[in-house]
Amino acid sequence: MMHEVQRRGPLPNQVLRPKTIDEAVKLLGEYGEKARLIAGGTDLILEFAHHQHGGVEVLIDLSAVTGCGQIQIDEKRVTIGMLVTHNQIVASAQLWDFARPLAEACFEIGSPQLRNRATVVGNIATASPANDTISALRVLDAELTLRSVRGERTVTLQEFHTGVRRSLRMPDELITSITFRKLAANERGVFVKAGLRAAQAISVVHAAMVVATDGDLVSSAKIALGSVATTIVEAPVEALVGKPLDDEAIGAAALAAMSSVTPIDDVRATAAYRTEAVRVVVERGLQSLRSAPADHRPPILLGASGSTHGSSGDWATVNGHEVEVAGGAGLTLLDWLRDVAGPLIGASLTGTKEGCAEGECGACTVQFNGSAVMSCLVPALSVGGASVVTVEGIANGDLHPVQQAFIDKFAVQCGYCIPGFIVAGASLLDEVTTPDADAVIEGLAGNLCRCTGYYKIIDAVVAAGQ
Amino acid sequence: MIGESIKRPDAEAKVTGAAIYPGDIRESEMLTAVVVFSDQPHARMTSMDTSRAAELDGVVTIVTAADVPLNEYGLTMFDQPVLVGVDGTGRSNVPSDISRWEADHIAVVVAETDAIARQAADLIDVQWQELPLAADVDTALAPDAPLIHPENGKPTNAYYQYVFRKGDMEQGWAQAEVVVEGTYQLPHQEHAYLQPEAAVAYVDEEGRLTVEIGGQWTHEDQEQIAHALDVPADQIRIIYPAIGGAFGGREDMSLQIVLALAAQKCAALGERRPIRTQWSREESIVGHHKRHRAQVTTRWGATADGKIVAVEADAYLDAGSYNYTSNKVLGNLHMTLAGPYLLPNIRVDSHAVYTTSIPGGAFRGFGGPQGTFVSESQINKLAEALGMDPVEVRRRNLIGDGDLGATHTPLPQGVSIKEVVDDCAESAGWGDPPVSYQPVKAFRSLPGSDQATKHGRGFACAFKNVGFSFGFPERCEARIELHGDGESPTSATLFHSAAEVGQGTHAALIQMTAEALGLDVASVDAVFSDTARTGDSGSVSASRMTFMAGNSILGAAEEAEKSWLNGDRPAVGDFRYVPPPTEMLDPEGGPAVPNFSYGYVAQAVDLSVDVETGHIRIDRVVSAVDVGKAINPMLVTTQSEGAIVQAHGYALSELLVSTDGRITNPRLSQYLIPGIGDIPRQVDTVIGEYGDPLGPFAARGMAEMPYLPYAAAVIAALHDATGVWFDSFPLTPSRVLAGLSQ
Repeated sequence: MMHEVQRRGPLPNQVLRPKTIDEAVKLLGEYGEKARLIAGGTDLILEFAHHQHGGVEVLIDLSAVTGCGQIQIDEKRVTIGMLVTHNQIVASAQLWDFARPLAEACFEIGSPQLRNRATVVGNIATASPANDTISALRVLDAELTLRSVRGERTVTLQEFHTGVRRSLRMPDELITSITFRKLAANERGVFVKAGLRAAQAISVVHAAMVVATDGDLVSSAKIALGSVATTIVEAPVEALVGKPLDDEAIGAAALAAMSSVTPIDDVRATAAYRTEAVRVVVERGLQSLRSAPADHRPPILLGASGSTHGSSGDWATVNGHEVEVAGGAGLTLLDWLRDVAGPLIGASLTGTKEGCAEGECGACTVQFNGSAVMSCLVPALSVGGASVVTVEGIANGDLHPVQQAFIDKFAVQCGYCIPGFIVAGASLLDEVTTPDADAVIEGLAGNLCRCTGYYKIIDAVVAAGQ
Repeated sequence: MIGESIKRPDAEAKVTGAAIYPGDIRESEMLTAVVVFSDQPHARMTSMDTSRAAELDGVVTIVTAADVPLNEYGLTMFDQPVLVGVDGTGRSNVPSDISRWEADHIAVVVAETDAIARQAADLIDVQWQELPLAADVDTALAPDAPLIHPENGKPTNAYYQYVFRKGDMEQGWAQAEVVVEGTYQLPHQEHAYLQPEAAVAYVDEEGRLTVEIGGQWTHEDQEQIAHALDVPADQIRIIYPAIGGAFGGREDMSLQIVLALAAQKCAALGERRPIRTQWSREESIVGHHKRHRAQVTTRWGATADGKIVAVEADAYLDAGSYNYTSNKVLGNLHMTLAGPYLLPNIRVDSHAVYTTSIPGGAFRGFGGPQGTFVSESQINKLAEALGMDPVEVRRRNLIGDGDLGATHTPLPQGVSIKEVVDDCAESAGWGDPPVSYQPVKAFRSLPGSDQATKHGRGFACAFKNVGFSFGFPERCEARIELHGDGESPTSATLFHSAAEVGQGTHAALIQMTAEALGLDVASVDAVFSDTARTGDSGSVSASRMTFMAGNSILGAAEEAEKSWLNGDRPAVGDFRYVPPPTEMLDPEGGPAVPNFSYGYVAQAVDLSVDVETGHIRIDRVVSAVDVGKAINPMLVTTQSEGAIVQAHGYALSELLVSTDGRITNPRLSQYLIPGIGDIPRQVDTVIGEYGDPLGPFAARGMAEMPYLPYAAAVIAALHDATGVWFDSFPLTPSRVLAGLSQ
């Protein structure tokens, strides 16, 4: 019996890429427990690596399904398809107005590279009480549409989650979309997350809140709390309703929220801390709803559309070369690039590095249809029909300006993280031509460096845009 | 040329992805190896059966303890079996059937693919008899504790000691008008270099067993492999390709010996394909040593006018299950417990203790950060108790040239701590009215809270040796070849083993070579880190390489110029630089000269804390460091910034959790190193050039120095903001809030 950290589960060799929801549902019905659905892959690839899916033989990759990557905004409700990514939500100025808690929650998840791939439906399906979008969608009264060969049904998000990583979804069911209501003119909402670092943070606790007012008084309110119990919990709001949103009412609501939670001690924080943090998060969140939110500049996506889903085919373009993807069965995009695609195009593609294999360090960053992604979390076969650019292909000539700036500004030390920074930095410069330091810090939040302390990296990317 | 920030020669290949790290080496035909961990923090192996594994299709061979002629490993004492095993193991100084660490190695499986190797590894049938655990210092020192290394003949797990005895403690305490005490807990730290361990091994064209790997000292890797394989060192060849960070974490062996054994066994079977292996992040975190945990109880006394008159300390370093470099790390902890101060009365007892926890080993600062945290916290507490400015208290006690320190001997000439403290205080505007910083933004979606944000400033300083200490043989070799057809050489080649782990040593060495020869940098090329071609440089550690290599280059340049005048073409100069000898500390605390050079540093930190959430932001760090002479100022600055941010993680966020000797959070999503948004908002590095009389171009080592005082300065700033002292860290929000509520 090997040490836990030495056991490695491979990805299934068989990856099916349905192009329609009907096909996907049919495949799911056919394979049942032998199949797992994959879209963003943020959790699933890791779970396979850690042997959590014994008996699973097939991946049903949803990324090629058409018609599921749209955000549809009607008069009262919003519908998002199952392939809508966190960055698509983040990129929607309308959702910052009509669904601010969700936009903020999506913006605080992972890094730009993750958000270009990870789907909101995937976050809901994972059913962890630390998942940020669940609370946000709870306060927006979301409903899910589930499809199987047996038919279609709608369930409310409130009833959907039944425990840690447990939900009402049957093994043959696909969550095809989520709908939720738009905030009305008399409503304000906010999402507040306490984490342990500025980005890439898992919630220690978080809260999503919506308050409606009628004149000076609160007419209704909803507070959903995450990372404080086995599922998302709603805090009582009696202290608010019918009262002005003053310090007294807010204080009472914050205390009531504290008493509604049953958190645990873990590596991130103690239960006592979480309980106290609930009070502060609710108190400050509600206080912020007294005034309209401050303007914010467009969030950085490291890509144009925020999505990397929607392509299909048996060939991919890697740094301009056509490559057949079939040899990537069972591999991540990272391993395929390094060990298979490189030799196929007759070039060394070992610049893309593995530093963590869990989407945490960014050393494996590549561009996928123009958007930065973590290649360690993408099944190789999912790049069929897409264009991939690695650090080796980032320059259009001798050196990309960001490469030259890294040399000139002494931003390179051991260099192992640098290809990831170069690809992410080039993506940032495509999006924001002259980024300032704040933009660089936001855009490169998914890349870890252990040597430089980041100062010269910030200097370099800023200089590359000058 | 010296003093210019010439560009790094390695940068271009690193920004294009062309640089080849050990895990990037691709040959058309390669085998894969998996090094199998024991998964037993303390247990005796009673049987091991590899037959089922060996029969698996695609398995080439399985290396076990029976294949290790001298089954013992250790950088400074042989106390670890290379492979734990039961039958027919080679000679060894240490019982080889006992696993004392969850990552002890029991076998190397060589196979056609990684998947096959892992499948085979899972089929190795091992039986263990569990032994009692002693996973922390308190348990290991209890009277009924199991002895972890009974073979060393000692009656206790405390196996290595240093003492300071100076002056008269009774008299010191009698003079003390103010006394402060504390018990400090220092945490583990993981190196988290971005490149997990990887290596390739093969037999080269001249029949040498060759390992390409990232390490810190090619010739030590060579010697350790040669020892275990019981072959002459020249039959082993070590090559360093690009190395993805080290920080001390590559000083001990990871894959070196076991992969050489695998290549040797394969060669004996007629199998010549290169063997590669790469650890996952989890294997890396579980599988290599950490910065040591330690606990220290200490008491300092001073007169009312701020003169320190008594220092006592008892320190226990958790060595973990193997010594690695713990006996040396203990020495640095010990030296820094008394700080860079002139103290009349000292008693310090420091102990290294074996436990069944993760081995502690080298990590930037090498015991200095732990000792410095304790002594600088103590002097900051003294300042508070005295009602005196912390910088002023330091000024009244700092050590200078000729002063007799805790070792009853003066520090090497060129003591600059007073100047460095003054530089730091001046640049930081110490004593000026406080700068007004923004409230801490504890939550990304909300503005910070004015009312909950408190601000504070803290100060700390430190010293640490440059180069190997305590009598360890210190040397550094260089070769320079001069080329040209005319009267003077037009180009030169440097041959040197200095490991480029990211710090920029290759740039500095080329720069010093050019300066020594009066050539342009562009006319100097170099061959680095290949034991078949380059001499013994010693390790990149102890902030020593600029100092040692610079002196070796100056000597080699002189020899090469003689050879040139002699008419040799190419002219060749070889030189081995040996600094003044050092000594072990005296076992009774008598006089000793443990070091030949020191570095000096001081830092001021501005901090803001949200007292309702425990979130801390560092607003500004002013870090003054004496580098003697900055060979390449940008490389100095980048080392300073990197060290500070690494120390920032140590102080604020890096919490390694282990239970019963097993690490429970071995991922970068669980063990949190600083990201780009977490770093101090501003770092100002103040470069002092006070000169080391022995240094090349007067340079002294610096790469560890800015790490040393940071945690103490942060905690002093937190105290200034909140009135609460923290004697342990990391200062996660949860711990800060718990501390503030007491």
